[in-house]
Amino acid sequence: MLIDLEDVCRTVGLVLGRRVVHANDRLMEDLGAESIDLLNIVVALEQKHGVSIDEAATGDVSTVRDLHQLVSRSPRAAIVPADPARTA
Amino acid sequence: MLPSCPRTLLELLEQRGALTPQQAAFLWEDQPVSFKELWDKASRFAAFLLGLSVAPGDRVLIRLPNGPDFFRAFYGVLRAGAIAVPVFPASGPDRIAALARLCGASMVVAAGGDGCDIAGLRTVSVADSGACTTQASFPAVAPDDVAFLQYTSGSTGSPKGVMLSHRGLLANIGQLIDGMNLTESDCFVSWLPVFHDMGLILMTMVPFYLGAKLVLLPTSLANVRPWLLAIERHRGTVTAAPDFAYRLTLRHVREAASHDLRSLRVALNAAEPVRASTIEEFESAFGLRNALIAGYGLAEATVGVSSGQPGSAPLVDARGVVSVGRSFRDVDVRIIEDGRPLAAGRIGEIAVRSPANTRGYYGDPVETARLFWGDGYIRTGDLGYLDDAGRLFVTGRLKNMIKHGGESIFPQEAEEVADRMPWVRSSAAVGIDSGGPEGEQLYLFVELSRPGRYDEPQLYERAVDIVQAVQARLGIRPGRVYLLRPHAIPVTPNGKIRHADLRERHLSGGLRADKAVLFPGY
Repeated sequence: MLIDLEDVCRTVGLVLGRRVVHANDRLMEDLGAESIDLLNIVVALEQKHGVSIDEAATGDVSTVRDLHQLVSRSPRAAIVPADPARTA
Repeated sequence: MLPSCPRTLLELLEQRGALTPQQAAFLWEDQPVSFKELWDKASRFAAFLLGLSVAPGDRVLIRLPNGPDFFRAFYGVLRAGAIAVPVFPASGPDRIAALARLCGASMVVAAGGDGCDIAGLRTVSVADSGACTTQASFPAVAPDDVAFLQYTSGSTGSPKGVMLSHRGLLANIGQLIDGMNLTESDCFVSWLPVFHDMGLILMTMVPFYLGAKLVLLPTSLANVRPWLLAIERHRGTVTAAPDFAYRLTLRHVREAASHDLRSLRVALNAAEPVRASTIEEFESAFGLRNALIAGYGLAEATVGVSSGQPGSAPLVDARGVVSVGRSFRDVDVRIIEDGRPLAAGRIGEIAVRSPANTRGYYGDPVETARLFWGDGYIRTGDLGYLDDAGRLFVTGRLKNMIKHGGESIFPQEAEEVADRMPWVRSSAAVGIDSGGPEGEQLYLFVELSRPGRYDEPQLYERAVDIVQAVQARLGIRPGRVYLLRPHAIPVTPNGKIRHADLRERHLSGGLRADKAVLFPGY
């Protein structure tokens, strides 16, 4: 599924309270994400893109780019989001 | 001159009618209504009710807005020995019928021609009693008789009718006067609804008792100007309102300096969480000094439990919670958890013992049994703590507390952060569990004052601002921030945020279906 890298950067920035997020930023080390924030990022991405992300695979995610790849290869969720036409 | 030890509200009013018959009980639309007129018309209405076979202990609904007729109806019902049940006048027929069923009422007093048309419920109006005599044989009313039922809205379940006795009401009137140093020289200015406890007891029964001047206004807050103008014109010294009304005033009055409110000695801020920012900003905008005092109370303790001291600076703790002061005379406050009292400084459920405590909910022994703890204490459902000096801090509602990653967060802590942003109209924090591994999370719903001003990138920046500010203040990031259109957050008729309702509307997709969510789109 084709997902814009910039879109993932913005979703991450929104959860973490950062105006600017780069693809190569490391979520924990550079952006200060804690484990609960990572869960919230995953939920946000799932709801936004209508995908189901494998929790076990999030352990290998370090950078925002890794996260983008994970979302891109995630299967569509059984339930589509309420308003899939809109993206933020 | 004060009445001499009245044992019932009727003795209080009768004595006022004799002591100061021509004095205005209150001013309504600038017209005085004297104590004698009030007593005579109430007696006439009581005679009318007795003629309709209303019997002692019968419940009579009163569906009237602020104004002279409310008092004629209210005291008329009491003088007939019956129990008054004030209801929100804008309630629809379904709610009126439901309340009538709950308390077994078969009569409602409404404005003339404003029949509710509900089967089994007779509608009468105060005007119907015009031809009645004031000299009937009125039943005896005892101090422990229930004077009125205060229905508490309760965000879940059916409303509960708190039984308030004459004895409890008079006890609380004395506590309020003593606790806030109120005197007969005070001038009360109130727009609070008289069909609700703070407006009825603090802002009318107390001045009636004192024989103090009372300027009564309609309840509409669509325009706050009449409130400010009345304070200014009458040199008002005492007023009261929930926090949101003071906040609203700050937003609506651009030229605060054009209003002179410096006559105010006591501006009670109570009935919902008190925000330090409100006190600070209101006093600074209007040039007041320590007039805004935070208070705490609940219908189950009649109305007032504690307040700050007029003239003393507010006390704010490290979490930003404003102290609601020491408990009033003869009131004992305990903080409990799992049925045991906690030490000073520990947060738990607030329990209150007072001579003004209710004896329970009308016709509801199950909820009544749940209400009490230990030796005559009522459980308030509010969380808070006492400091070493016995000052009470209310931190939130037990049921609204948010568990976020093991941290306990009170909605108003997060709301206070958002509300300080100049572009925010109002905000509400609730705990949302979407069913994922993250568990319950703090979600912040933020209404923008002027949503038309922002494009998508700017909305993104505003949301980021909120996340940063919450993190700086509370040390945690919200699970989600939603930016909403104005008026999207559900509130009660009194303007209190309905947190449970908001949570439900979010989870059911109702907010989005109403196009209330501006950002983000998921």
